[in-house]
Amino acid sequence: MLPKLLMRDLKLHWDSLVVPALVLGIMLGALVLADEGFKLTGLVLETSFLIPMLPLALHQRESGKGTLGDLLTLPIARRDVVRLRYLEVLLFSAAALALAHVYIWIALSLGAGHPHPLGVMDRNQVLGVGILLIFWFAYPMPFFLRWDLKGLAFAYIPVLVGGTVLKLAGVDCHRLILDLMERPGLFGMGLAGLFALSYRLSVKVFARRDF
Amino acid sequence: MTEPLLSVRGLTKRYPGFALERASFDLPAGLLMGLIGPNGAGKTTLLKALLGLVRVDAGTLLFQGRDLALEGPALRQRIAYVPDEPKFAPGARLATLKAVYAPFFPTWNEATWRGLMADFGLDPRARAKTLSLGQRTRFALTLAMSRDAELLVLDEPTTGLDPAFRRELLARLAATLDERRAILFSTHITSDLEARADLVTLLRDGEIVFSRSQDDLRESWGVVKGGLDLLEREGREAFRGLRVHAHGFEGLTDDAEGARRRFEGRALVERASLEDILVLLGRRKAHAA
Repeated sequence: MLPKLLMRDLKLHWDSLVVPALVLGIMLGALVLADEGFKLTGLVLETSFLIPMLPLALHQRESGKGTLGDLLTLPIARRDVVRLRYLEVLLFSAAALALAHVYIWIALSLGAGHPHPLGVMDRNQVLGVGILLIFWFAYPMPFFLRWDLKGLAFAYIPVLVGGTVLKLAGVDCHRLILDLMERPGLFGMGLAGLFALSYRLSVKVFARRDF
Repeated sequence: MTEPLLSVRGLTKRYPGFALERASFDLPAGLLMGLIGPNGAGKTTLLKALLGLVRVDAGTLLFQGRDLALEGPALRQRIAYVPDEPKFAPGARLATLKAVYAPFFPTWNEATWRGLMADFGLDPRARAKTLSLGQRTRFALTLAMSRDAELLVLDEPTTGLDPAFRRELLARLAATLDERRAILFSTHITSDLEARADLVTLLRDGEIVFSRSQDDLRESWGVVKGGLDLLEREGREAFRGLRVHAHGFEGLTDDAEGARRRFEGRALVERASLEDILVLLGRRKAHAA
């Protein structure tokens, strides 16, 4: 069922993927070619920042155009729609990272830049991608599936307020995360757990909606 | 006794300010059921509940004896739905929309779809955004009717269609009925139902007033037409619905034979059309208020 749903998305909404893909392409190109000593971390993280938004954009398009009801009358369970979005974020992330590596390869072939000594991505970069997937996709997804665009406000306003309060209280969240990353195994499991928790919550809230 | 194709028992759905309360009816295979009621009566809510688009608060929905709440996705293979305002990805061509829809249905019949597209005057290369409401409904019907579905659920499918096409569509729909298929058809154009419906279910203010065969309705429901003095003597409560005008009244009764005996020589008792029932019952509450 998921391949059929994925094909449906790609065939019906390919045009909404074109603009982000172009932006991504130009952004990555600029990052690689404009800076002689380009920063791989920045490259990977910038890439990861855009990608989590795509499944949300696709879902919002279905909702905004009123075709979500049509989708849900297909012989599929609601959790299949949620599963589709989580699959898409992983696939799009993989595609974007592959694209990033193509750029890096081009840049290196042209004699520009300096690859990371450990290879294209190091441990913290992989974990960084995971953090962005959680923050920009897994965390807002249950809110978004319940309340559409309003849900993004419900998700991020408390984060903004909470972050400001913590900063004023002298808590350095960035440092805290970096410290946690010192135990990569545990940190990775934590990220995977949050991703799984987000999926469970999303299935639950989406099942409770009326269309 | 044969199991009905669709059985709705005690269906309840509550919204703030509106509730569909304990709706129950059966739809046997081979029949076309018309679902009528004024705007806001709960028709669309009921149909959406069948498709799993709204969560029900209570009640059961059985399709061939199987619970739609438990086996909805599998059973939706056999239930086709046309919403009141079909919506499609605006930039997509009709052929593309069909291409992403058909793979979900193993019983899809491409030849039927092509035939319907030609008969309904639709071009597969046209984009969805160029279609009028009537054309979108036609296209939604081609998709629904090419799946060999056993239950066709149509929400106001004739709205936006011209009279000639409406007549042709109703004839086509009636021709698809056989011992394993049924149609549930919501509309406020009661003349469509009078021509084709075997059963009629009337919803008003979220409650089912009746769910009966048209033959029964013709036998039992009537409109009493008389003077204001008669109304004064009999009282408004003698009627299920009432319309009062300057020189007399029209009262709806569900016992036409009894009314003929009771008002013999004092009032005229005519057979009630579906429109009479819909209009007069719809007015009762407003009148009481």
